[in-house]
Amino acid sequence: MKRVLLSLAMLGLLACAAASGLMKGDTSSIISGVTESTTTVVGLGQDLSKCEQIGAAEITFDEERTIGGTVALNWVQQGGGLLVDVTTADGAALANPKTLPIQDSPRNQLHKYLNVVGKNLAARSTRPTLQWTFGVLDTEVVNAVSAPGGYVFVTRGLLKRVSNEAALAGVLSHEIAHVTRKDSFAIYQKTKVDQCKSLAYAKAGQKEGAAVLRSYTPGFINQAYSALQAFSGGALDLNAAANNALLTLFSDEFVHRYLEGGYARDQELGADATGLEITVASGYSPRGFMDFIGGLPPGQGFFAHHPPPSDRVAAMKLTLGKTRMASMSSTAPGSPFSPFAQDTSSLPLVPLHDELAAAR
Amino acid sequence: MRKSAALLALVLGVGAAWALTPGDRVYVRGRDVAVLQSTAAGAVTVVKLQPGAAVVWRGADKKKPTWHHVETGGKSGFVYFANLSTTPPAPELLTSPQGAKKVDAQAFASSGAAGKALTEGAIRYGNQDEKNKGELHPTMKEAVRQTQTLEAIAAQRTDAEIAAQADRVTGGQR
Repeated sequence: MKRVLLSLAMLGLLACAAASGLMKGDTSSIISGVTESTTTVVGLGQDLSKCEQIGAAEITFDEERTIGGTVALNWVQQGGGLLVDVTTADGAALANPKTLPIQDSPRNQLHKYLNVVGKNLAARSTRPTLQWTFGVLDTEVVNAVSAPGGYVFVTRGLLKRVSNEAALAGVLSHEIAHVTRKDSFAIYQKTKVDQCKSLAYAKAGQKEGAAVLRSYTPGFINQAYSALQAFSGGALDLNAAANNALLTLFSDEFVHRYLEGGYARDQELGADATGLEITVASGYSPRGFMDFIGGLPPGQGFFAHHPPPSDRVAAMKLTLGKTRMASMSSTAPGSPFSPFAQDTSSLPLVPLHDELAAAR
Repeated sequence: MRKSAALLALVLGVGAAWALTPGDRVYVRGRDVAVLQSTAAGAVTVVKLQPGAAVVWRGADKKKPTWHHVETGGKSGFVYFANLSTTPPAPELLTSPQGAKKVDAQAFASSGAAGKALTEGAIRYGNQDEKNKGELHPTMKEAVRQTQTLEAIAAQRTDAEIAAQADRVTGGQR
């Protein structure tokens, strides 16, 4: 089935639309419902203080995995769905991924291959023990994206463009690097505080809460506010049912901000460098990924937020050269084990497996 | 095309003035990393180590400098250089009744948290009625089901499959 290709701008809009069931169009008509028990100035001050506490707490793995799961669901939905044949199991069976029956179909075979390739790479990362999950999104857009906690997605359109496994490994490693470097954490922390404060302002009937009022129903806002009021310090458990509205507030806005702005240039170049290290440490030629990036037209799909391909390739070549020089002569810690210490020109590109043909 | 033999011959860094000295502690960075009895092809595996395992570094092999001599738990052998690091894998921050606590990679791997699929919170997020009223396809509920299937495919990949993939890429040279 041919899907409509979504531009990045459209995807940004869809991030808002993802909360469409919760959205409201006329702020003035709902303020009365939300602010029935308008908070006092003192109450607002206490709420804002709680928001600062929530933002100051370190992000635990449990929170990362929960927010990452919601972000992954958004990528799956907005990417046209996963190219999998779903299991029809239910209840307890679904809760245990280790034993869930899986159809032996070509689409699922593709995912088995992708996960073997991806997990071999992730084993060389700084977070080798995460439950890494690699999926193919059913869209022609050339793209790759990750979510906190260990989710990595590539599109069917991207798979059509990779000509060898080294290129695929490079793409997967770049996304693995965003997760291991926790590049999303700064955006997420700020999102939490901003959304929490918008909620408090909305309940206080102040204009700073207009965005939340426009986007969510009064009932939803009241649920979220109850959760904020119940917060008594420490780590906020977003996995708890009582905090579902807060989780939704945070996740929706986080997805929206990511789609609008992406990562910073330094973060993208950093992920390229770390990704290249993972790729080479796993035994692939770095040429596969550099050739793939170098062959991309500028500004395609999510790659629109990345630095120009020529800049990325130039930076990677510099990384390879510098690190190799350091490995040869330096006293830099870690250099004897840098995968760039070898002559990487002799590493293989590795052909793609047959499983990929079904999706190309 | 496999050029593993050529690769080994071309490795640089022989005799370089590294910051390490024999006896220093270094760490395993990969999963199921084999410590081999010798650097010869088909050498016996002395022990397999997991991420974050500390070993004593004795130096690079003179003939095959991509292989490094290490000692661990009274055993001795050779490890491929890219599987070692001077720093351990990043610790993870877990929630506990006493507050958040940092655990190393090995403790994290055995904590159960590492194997988590979509959490209850994420499933609840995707299944809530308000998230399934739009016209997007798949719906969020379908996205949940697809993601759970994907996670099962990922979780069911065995260490043997991953080891075979590593061999496929490297020609069995590590």
